[in-house]
Amino acid sequence: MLSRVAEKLFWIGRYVERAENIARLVDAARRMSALPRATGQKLSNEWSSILIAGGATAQLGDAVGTAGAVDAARFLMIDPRNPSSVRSCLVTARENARAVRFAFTQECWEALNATWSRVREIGDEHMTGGRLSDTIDWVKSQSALFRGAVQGTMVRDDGFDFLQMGAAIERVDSTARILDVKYHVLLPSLEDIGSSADHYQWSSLLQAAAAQRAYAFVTKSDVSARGVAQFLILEARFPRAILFNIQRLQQTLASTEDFYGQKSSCHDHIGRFVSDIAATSIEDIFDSGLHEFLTDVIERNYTAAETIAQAYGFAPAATEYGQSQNVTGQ
Amino acid sequence: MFDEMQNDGVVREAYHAFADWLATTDLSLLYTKRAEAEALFRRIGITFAVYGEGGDPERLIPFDLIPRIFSGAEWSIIDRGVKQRAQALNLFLHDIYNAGECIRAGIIPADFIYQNEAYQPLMRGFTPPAGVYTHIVGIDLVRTGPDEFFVLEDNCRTPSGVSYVLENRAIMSRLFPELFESGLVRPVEGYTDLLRRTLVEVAPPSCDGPPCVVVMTPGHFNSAYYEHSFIADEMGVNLVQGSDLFVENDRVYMRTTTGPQRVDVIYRRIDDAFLDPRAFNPGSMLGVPGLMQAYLRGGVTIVNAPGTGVADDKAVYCYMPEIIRFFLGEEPVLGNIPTWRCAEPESLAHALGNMSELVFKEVHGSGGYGMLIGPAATRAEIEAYRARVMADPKAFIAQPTLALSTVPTLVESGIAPRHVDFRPFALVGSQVRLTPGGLTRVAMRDGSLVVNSSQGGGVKDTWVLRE
Repeated sequence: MLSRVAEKLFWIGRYVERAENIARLVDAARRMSALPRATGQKLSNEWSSILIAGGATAQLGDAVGTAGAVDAARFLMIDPRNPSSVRSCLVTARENARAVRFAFTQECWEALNATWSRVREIGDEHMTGGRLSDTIDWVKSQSALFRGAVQGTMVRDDGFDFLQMGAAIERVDSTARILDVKYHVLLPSLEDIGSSADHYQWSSLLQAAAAQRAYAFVTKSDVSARGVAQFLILEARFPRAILFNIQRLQQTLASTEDFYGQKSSCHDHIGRFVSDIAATSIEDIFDSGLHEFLTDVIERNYTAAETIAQAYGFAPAATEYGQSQNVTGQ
Repeated sequence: MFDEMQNDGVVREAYHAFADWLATTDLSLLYTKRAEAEALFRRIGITFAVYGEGGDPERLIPFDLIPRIFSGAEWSIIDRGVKQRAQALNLFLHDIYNAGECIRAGIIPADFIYQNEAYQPLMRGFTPPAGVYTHIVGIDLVRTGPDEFFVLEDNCRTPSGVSYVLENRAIMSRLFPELFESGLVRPVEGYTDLLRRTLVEVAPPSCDGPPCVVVMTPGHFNSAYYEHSFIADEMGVNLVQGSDLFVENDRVYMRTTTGPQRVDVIYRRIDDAFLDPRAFNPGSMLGVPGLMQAYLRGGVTIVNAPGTGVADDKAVYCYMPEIIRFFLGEEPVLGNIPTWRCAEPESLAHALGNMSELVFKEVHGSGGYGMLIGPAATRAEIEAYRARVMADPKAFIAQPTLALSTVPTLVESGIAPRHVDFRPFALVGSQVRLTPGGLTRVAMRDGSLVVNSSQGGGVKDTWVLRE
C-alpha cells in the first residue's frame, strides 16, 4: 500500500476517535456544571479543566481560565479555528478519506460523508441545553457508525490495521488527558479530599471516559482516586483503558507484521511500552506521582506514533503532527 | 430542429420501447426517482469540485433520467468515425514529432505546429511504445439530423467524464431495472477492463514482469478527482500523487509501506506542465523530478504522452479532414463543423461581418469559457467581443451556430426537448477500442447550447442498442 494512503488511514482512525473523545469531554463538563448546585458546593471552573484536557491552552491562553459554558462548548465542538474541535476532526477525517477514497469500503466512506454533510450545519444554537446533549449523542453515534462500518465491511489487511493503530494511539492519548484533568485544575485542596466534590469530580472523569457503569460493574466498589486511576490505566478488559489500547496497538502491529511477513522497526518500542505499563501497579503510579506517570505515557505514546510513521514510510508530516502537538499543549 | 426521440409525432425507431414505457409512467414518479438519483450521487460522493467561486465547492452535475438512445446503425457510424479519427490523430502526432511529412506536404502550416504552446520539443525524435501518443481520446460530437454527425472538438490530453458514463448507467439500472431487462442495451461496464488492457499493452521496453500501472492525480482538490479515484479503483491499481513517486536510474518507483515498488505505466490526469519540474515547470510542487528523462529512456510510459495538446488545438482541428486523408488515405467518416480561422484575413472579415449568427471560440480555450454565442448575445456583448477578436485575431475561430439535436429531458415544467452533445472515449493501444456508449451532456436551460458542466450543463445515460 502507498505510504501516503497508510498515513491517511492512520489519521482518519485518530480523527474520528478524537471527535468522539472531545464530545465525551464536553458531555462530562456539561454534567459537572450541573452537579454542584445539587450539593450546594462550588467547584472550580469545570469548563476550564475540560478546555485544558481538550488541548485549548495553546490557542486560548489565559482565556481558558475564564471561559463560560457556551464559549467553551463552541470552541471544543464547532470552532473551525480549533484543529481539534469535533467539527474540525470530522471535516479533516472526511477530507483525508476523500484523498484515499477507495482505500475504504463504500459503507465506511458513506458514514464519514454523511457525518460531514451534517456537521457543517451544526451552529451556535446547538451549543446549549438539550440541543448540546443531542449534538453530543449524535457525534457518539456517528463515531459508532463509522467503527461499525469498518469492523463489518473492511477486509482485514494493512489498511484496516492502520486505521486501528490510529484509533488505539488516540484513545491512549485521550484517556491519559482525561485523567490528567484532575491534576491540572481539579487538583484537590486538602479539605476537598474525600469530600463529595472530590467524589463528583472523579465520577465525572469516569463519565468522560464512558466508564461509569463499567467501573461499577467490574470493581463493585465506590468511586475513589485510586480506583478510578487503576481502572482507566490498568483495566485490561475496559476498551478505553490505557493498557487495553496499547495492547491492542501491539496486537494490530503483530497482524501487520504478519501481513507483510517482516518484523517492523517499531516493534521493540511498542513492546517495551506494553510490558512496562503492564508491570506497573497503581501503588507505583501514585508513589511516583500520577501526573508524572501520565506525562510519561503521553510522551511514549507520541513516540510510538512516530516510530510507526517511520517504519511504514510516512515519517512525520509537519502539519499533522503539529496539530497533534496542539492537543498535547506541549 | 431535429429531436432524437420524436419528430412531428412520429417516434424514431431506437426510442420505440422507451417511449412506450414513458407513456405509461407517471411524471411524479420521475420526479421522485430524480430526487433518489441525486441523493445517491451525493451519498456516493460523485461530485464535481468547483473551488474559488463561493458556495458549496463540491457540486453535483445534474443527472437527467431520460436516456439518449442510439440504434446499432447509428452507432456503427460513430464507431467507425471515432476510431478513424483516433488513429489519424496518433499518426499525425508521430509525424510532427518525427519526420514532419504532413508539414512538408503542405497539409498544415509549420507555424501552427512548431509555434504551438502545446508542442513539446523534448518529444522530438522519440516514439512511445506501440507508437501511441494519445491513448485515451475524447471526441466531442454534435448532431443536426438523422445521419448528420459532426466533430465539435478533439480531446487528446486528459479527457474526463468517463466516470459519469459508468455511474450514470449504474444509477439508471438501479432506479429502473425494468428498462434493462430486455437485454437490448449494450453494457458500458467493460470500459475499465479495456482501459487496463490498453495501458498494459503500452508498457515500456524495460518492463520485465507484469506491468505495474498507476493512475496519477493532482490531488483531491482537482475538479475531476472523483473520476481519478474511481478509475483507479475500478482497475484495481494505485492512485498516486507526484509525492508518492520518485525516479532512480531512469526507473520510476512509488513509496509503499513495504518500500519502493517499480511503476511501469502512469495514466496521468495532470497537465504536461506539472509532470516533471526538471523538464517543464521548476516552480511546480506536483511533479516528479526526472520523470521525463526516465520516460524518454524507456523506463516508464506516460499516458497520454506529453505534447499531445497540439493535436486538439482548435486551429489544428480545422485541418483534421485533410490530416485523415493524408495519413489514412480515407475520406473522413465524421465531418468537421465549417470553421473560419480568424488568423486568415478573409475568414476574419467574414466572421466579423456575421457575428450575430456565429459562435466564436478561443483557439486555446476549453470548458465553454470565453465563448460568444452570437444569436444569444446582446449587441453590447458582441461589440465587446469584437474588440477582443480584433486585438488578437489568431486566438479565435468562428463557426456557424448549428441546430443541435435535442433529446427529451425532465425539467421543472415536465418533459421538454433540450440540446445535447456527445463524447465517446476511444482507447488506443495495440488496437483502437471503443466502448458502446459515452457521455451525453445536455444544456438544461431552454434553448441553451452550452452543455459544459462548469456552466450548469447536465448529463444523461447513453444507450447503444444491439443490432
